[in-house]
Amino acid sequence: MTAARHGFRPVEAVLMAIAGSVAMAAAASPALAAHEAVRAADLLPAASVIGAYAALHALLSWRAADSDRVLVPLLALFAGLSLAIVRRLAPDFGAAELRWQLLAVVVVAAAALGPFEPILFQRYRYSWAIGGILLVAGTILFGRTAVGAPAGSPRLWLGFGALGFQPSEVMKFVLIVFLAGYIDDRRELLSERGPRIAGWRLPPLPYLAPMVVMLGLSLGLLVVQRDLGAALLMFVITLGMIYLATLRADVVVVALGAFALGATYLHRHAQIVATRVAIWLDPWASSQTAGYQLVQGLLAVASGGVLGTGLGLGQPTIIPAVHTDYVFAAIVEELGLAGGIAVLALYGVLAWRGMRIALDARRSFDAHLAAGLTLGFVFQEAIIVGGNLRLMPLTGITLPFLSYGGSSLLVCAASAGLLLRISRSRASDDGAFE
Amino acid sequence: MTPIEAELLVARAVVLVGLYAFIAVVGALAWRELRLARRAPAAGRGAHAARLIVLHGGDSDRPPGTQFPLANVVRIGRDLDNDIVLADPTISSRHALLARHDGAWWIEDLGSRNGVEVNGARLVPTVPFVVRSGDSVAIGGVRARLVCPEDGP
Repeated sequence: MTAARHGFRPVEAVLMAIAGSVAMAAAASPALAAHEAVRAADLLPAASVIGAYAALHALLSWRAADSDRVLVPLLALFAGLSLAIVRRLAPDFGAAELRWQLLAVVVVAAAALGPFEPILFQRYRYSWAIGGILLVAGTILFGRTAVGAPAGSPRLWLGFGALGFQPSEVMKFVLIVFLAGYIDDRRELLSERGPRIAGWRLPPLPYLAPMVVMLGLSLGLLVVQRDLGAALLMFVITLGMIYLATLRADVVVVALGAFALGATYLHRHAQIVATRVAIWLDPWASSQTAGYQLVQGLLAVASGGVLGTGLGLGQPTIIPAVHTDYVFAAIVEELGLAGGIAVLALYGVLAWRGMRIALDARRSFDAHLAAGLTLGFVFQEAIIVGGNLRLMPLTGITLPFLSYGGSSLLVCAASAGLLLRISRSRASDDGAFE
Repeated sequence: MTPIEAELLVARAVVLVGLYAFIAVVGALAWRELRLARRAPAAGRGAHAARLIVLHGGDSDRPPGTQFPLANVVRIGRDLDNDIVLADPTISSRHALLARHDGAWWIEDLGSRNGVEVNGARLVPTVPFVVRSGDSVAIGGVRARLVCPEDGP
């Protein structure tokens, strides 16, 4: 299957046109609802971001026509929805959101086409790991709360003045890169057998030990920081990547058992975990205090009905932190069950493309990296949507690509850009002798 | 219905219909890809495709008669990176390269420990050598025959 290096990509163009229409309509609707007219200023942000992605589409047609054709329109669609939702939910963040979205396009393009090879990540994997751990450790020592957050909220930010970022987002990325490098490094060990304990054969210890150490360090640091959502996310990503590499269900079962023990311990001894679980089990008991956010989120989802109130016509702004933690509930209120299912399906599309790219990757490091990044998107989306819908205790993490949040968006953009780059190496190797 | 309400309805319809149109187009792509994937291996096994047929599998778990359809560049070795992975201790991790080039098949020993033989003659490492349909190729302890119908016998 050899694809031309240059060439128009019609499927991508069709998908871009659909994404552009959705973005424009989504931007116009809140403006109509708020002041009964659509001004140019209401459409300009969406138009500029869609324009930037259209330029990226053209650039890919010219420079890398063999790369994945679905990812760029999908990112454009996410960006259009995110702009409309965030500008509608938190108008104060509208300008910042536009800036982050435009920067995200640059990051996608740089990761997809920049003059470097992902293999460099593998070569320096231990430097990456140490850097990531130092980042989180630095946050514990010098961290501060988010701008405008009440005193006593978790200190998850690092930076000076108006420039700040969330190291746990970077740490997640670093963990995936490290694991992909490590798994690829030790793949010959996969065929070996580890020690046997009471009739149960362990995977080879040199294979598991450094991963357990790396995971333990990152989890410990995050639990100390009370960033439980990020800790949970890193745990399930690690488990998923180890399972994909070893295909050992018993390892997953044992790890989940250990997780259950750890969760029970935290439930007994960590106030924040006990509170979260209590709210999850019965939000109505504290509907005006601790459970307020969850109750308002549920009411928002319920009031949406099948087709929703229409963008800009609901009351999702009642939910505290709606533009970061409760974007999904806001989407369901204003676009209804139909919109909520469509958004979940878009993450399904992302999962399909990501895993396809992993399966087609030429190098095993690239395959593990693509699979890990895809698992990261999917698990993150599942954890926060599950929290919004009270399927599991709420942990405050962002909805990938849709929530407001610069660190989260840029890390997602870098990951998506890497997927695009890995999708290129597939076809370009095939034509080596042509 | 006021004009504003009508405009809002249109905006909502465009968003929802657009989202599902996007998913439908991607779904059609996925469907086509799955169908192609089902057909592709069948085409590779067809009578006209070049392939490598195992005569003696050594310690690899490839029984005699196993067929490997050949792409234009085929890397052979023990490493999982290779296009044809042969898990035999006599085979190096990156053992040999089989490539279609200038209208012929070339095999190259990539500096392996136990070498490559064509019809019993040991190849000079890293120098590509032409193989024709029917030639017997020994890669470490695994022997196979190259079959490419368009080249004749």
